[in-house]
Amino acid sequence: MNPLPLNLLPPGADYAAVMPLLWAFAAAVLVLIAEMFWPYRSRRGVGWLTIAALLAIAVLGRAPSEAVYFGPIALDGFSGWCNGLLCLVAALSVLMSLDTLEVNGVTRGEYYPLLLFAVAGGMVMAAATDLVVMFLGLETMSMAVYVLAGMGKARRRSNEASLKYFLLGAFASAFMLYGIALLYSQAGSTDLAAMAGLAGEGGTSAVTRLGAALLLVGFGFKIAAVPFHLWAPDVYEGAPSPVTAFMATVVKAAAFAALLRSVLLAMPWVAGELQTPLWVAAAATMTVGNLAALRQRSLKRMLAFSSVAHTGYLAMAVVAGTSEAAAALLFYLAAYAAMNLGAFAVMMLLADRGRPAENISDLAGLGRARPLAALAMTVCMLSLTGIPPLGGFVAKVSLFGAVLDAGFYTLVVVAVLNSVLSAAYYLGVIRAMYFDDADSVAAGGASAASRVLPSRPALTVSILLAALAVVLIGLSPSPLLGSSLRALASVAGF
Amino acid sequence: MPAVFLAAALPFVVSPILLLFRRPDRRAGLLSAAACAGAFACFVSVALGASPATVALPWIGPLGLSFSLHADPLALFFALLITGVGFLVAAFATSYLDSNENFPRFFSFLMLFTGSMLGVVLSSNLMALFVFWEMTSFSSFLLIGFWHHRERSRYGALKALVVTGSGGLAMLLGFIMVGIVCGSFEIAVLAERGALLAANPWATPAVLLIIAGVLTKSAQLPFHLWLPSAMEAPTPVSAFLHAATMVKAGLFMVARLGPLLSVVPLWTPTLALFGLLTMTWCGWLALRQKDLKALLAFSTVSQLGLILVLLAPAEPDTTAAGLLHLLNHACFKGALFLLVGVLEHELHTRDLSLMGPLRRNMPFTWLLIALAALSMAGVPPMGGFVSKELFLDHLLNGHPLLALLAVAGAVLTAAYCFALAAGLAAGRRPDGPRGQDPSLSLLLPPALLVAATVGLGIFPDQLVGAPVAAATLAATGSSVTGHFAVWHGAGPSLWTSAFAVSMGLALWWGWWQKRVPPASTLIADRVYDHALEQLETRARRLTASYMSGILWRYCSVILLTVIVGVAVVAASQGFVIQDGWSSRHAGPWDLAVCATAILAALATLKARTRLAAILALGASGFSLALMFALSAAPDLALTQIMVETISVPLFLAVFAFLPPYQVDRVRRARPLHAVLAVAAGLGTALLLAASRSQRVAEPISSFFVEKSVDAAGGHNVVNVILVDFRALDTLGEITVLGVAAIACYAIIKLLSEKEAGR
Repeated sequence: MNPLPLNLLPPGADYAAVMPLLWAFAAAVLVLIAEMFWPYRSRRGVGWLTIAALLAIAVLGRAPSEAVYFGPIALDGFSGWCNGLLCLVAALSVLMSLDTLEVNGVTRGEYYPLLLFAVAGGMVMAAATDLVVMFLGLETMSMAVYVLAGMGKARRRSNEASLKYFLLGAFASAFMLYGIALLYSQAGSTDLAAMAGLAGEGGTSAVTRLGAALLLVGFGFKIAAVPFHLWAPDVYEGAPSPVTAFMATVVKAAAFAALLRSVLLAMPWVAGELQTPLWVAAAATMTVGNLAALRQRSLKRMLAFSSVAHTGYLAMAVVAGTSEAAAALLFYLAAYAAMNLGAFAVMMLLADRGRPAENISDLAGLGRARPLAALAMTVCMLSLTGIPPLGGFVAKVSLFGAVLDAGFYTLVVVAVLNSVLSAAYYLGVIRAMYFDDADSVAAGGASAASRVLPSRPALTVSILLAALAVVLIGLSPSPLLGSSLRALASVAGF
Repeated sequence: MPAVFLAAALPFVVSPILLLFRRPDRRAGLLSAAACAGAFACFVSVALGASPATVALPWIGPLGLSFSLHADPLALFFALLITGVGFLVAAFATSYLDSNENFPRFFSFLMLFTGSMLGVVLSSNLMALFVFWEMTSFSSFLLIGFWHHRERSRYGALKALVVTGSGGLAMLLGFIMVGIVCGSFEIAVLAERGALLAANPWATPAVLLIIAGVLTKSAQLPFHLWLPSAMEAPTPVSAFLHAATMVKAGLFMVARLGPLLSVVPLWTPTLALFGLLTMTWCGWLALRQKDLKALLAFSTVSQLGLILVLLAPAEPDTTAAGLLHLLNHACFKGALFLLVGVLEHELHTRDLSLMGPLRRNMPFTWLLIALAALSMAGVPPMGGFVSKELFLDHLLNGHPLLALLAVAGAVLTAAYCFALAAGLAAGRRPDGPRGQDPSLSLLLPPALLVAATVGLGIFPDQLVGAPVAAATLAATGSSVTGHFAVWHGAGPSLWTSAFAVSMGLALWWGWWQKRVPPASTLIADRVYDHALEQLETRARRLTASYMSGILWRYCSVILLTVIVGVAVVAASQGFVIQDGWSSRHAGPWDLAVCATAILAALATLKARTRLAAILALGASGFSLALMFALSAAPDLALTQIMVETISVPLFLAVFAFLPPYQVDRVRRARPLHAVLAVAAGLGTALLLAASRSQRVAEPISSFFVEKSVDAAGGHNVVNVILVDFRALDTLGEITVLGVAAIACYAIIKLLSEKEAGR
């Protein structure tokens, strides 16, 4: 007789490792309940509560000096770093949505709890050391974002965005699950620790490789890499602007964090075995994104394609597969989130009741009407282009440098050429803000920027915060770069 | 605070302050001029050794990047030139701009540029240098587009940015390569590691990329197209950026990195060849311009080519000559631009063929123009003569073909200089617009520049001998052997010079006076326009064609990618499929169930109403449940039946909200869909077989069979799994199903209430 021990907890399980996640889910439920009883008139209070919760989780989610584990959940430097990034970026996106939800057609209060659920899912993704748990996190986040994309209930485009995102997302998730199953069939486990051993002498088996490829298809969808990016422009455009900003930053960061931990770090053989398809996908992603962004009239769509292009740059880190590239990827994510949020916030500033103002031409004259906002937008656009000394430049230098170090010269050449190409449309925004006022006045049309806009203090503050972050990251990148290096160094077995 | 840092930071500090001034405030210009003067004074103190020449500021530690400034004599030479000319230009612009212009903006941009340019020459780190390099491109973009309501200004600004910005990025790539090969981005460290670079195969591409940066910035062939378009900028900008300083950044780079990069054999000949070709070809183009500023633009490009030839070998004597000519050029060309600005201001035209006789109407202006032009032509005793002598000296010792090119360039230069000096004296039209000499404040800055170039001709060694020698030593690491003088003795260079000047005179008199064939559009311009247009249309077409917004197309793309991926792996590696991959053989019942499932699936496709489609789909689902049952997996079968049962009412519930069912919408795409579906099905089967053929672990079922009686006391393994081994899973599943059922109930209830409400 050999009775099975009833151990619900794996050996060495430490509750400290799941506490940040529990806090996050608890905060989501709390906000959900609070929202139900909150007076309708002062709905903003829920937003402030959400921001407070996110900031608290950012603090509580910091990593202890020694990594702790709870079965397949790790709280190490990496997940601590990602918790901080996800919560802070989400908090900023909530701050900018306080004033703009109603203008964008979001009248329901579920926005805040859903957003918190998505953040919690993202935190699970970053903390998971098991593919199934990672997938659970991914689905938790995705489900919430599917609904968020459709929050503009009365708008057809928002409905369409939600449906499209859901259908294609479910499609891609199925592939991911399939890949996990195939990997499981080869490794006999879904634990990330078992994945490194899949590459025996003479490389991996065909099934392993396919499993990894299908896993990457799922990730490719979430990060919007070519050819799985097709949903991005439609969904970004259709979703309410605050949700779009959230998707372009938090969702993308969470997906990249999971990709980093579960593929880049846990399956080091992927970079070698799937080098050619990854290489082609990265190059195609940045090129297609930039080319398509060139001719966009809609600012939102342009930003969607620009985010596709940036996915291409980020994906180079996966191609390179080195720890320097991974650290650069983390740094890039932070800089990217700041500059993208800033751009979306300025766009939201122009939205007025009944007129969302999402075209580049709506920016005309902003330089005169709102000099500070225009300056912030300029900073963000220059940073997205990669013009020094802003955050985007440092991010590009460290990323491109790491990829060069890994020996992918041609890929970096492609990336640099793409950066040049991207300057055309980023600078086009600046031109619209400062130089196009004369034209639009001559044409007799008043742009959105020249109208009297309601004062939105929270939005203005968030614009300034984002621009400040971009500048600070550029001028003094060492702390952030150092912390991302430390975060990577903490991942066990790497 | 060290004077170097103070001087470099001053323009950046002043730039935002200027924006606080109100619009028509000329004091903005005075403040800018004062800032330039202050920076100039700081640099003088550094040059005299009164202040340390190096400041280090950390930037990105982990990447080994810093914002260090190092004012060696070469950097100081350029810094003094920049701040000196900057002061004169700012003073000139203060009284030159119309009072309704936006002074704060103009001078703020100008200061931004000055600071960036100082950063370029002072940086001791390649990355920091690149940062400032791109900032000069950007501030140049802002300044060229200063009159942004003009279409041509915007066009020129964008073109300059595209060309110089792209070149800068190419250069960045070259820098990164050099940095990785040599292991540092510090210029001082790099200078000692030429041997490392020479031995590396990446050296040649790196050098070519850096050359691309140099050629674009200094507007050399085939990138000369942006400079003429940049002439839409206000004239002080043209004088400062596009004659005296910014376009010299490429030349500075050659002087700075020449000793390191000339270990690559390609460096010197490539630069020299491009320089010579540019000098001659753009001299020819300059001769054919009617617009004074276009003439000066092409002449600038041509002169920059000359300097490039001198700097390319990175040898002390030629470098010294190059630096001297660079200084000369800054003086005479800066003056010429400012004076053309005066003409435009007075006569309201820049067309050479419309000018009246200047010598009578505006004698001082004309005199200054003539002196500057003579210096450019290389007529003694002007500054231009001294440096052109050295240039010819250098080339006459080289390849005869190059010497011929050089002489041709000199002839063309002399010709357009005479056209400028003498052509304006008489004027093409006696009845042309008449102006007057402007006030002293407008004439003094160009006059000072002209005086400088005359002085450089008469006392070259006394005036700049020491600084140029020091800068040369700093750049090349060895000392100059000769010294500058007006009279070098009657050698071949003097005869060639005399020949060039007289031929130029003849060319002007005999041919230019009679008929000038106007220059056609630049080929490079046409290429640029065409490329930009193509890029835009292609991008638009690409986007429209595949970003259709249609869901099934998106799905098809994803599916197609996956199928192709699987097929490629299968074809290249081959799946190992063993005979025993299937655990049991198919019996007649299996075949029957399979046939039912397939028929049901086909019926789903053919269904004419949604309800029929759903029911058919349900039939194929229930067939699957049967299949599970036949395979002795009753739990799976039950689950499947459960899912089918719950999903049908859900489907029915949401039908009410959906638009009418349209089957035939995508008829054209059906073949594609059929192929995709068949391929997906086959691929899945293949994958399944392959993964089952590669079992690596014992099946878990044997564990359950072995332990079920021992550990759980049950004889039905399935039951034991559900309620014992996997009890928590079962609990979870029950919860999920319960929640789903509640949701179903809620939806149906809401619907019926809505119906009742109607």
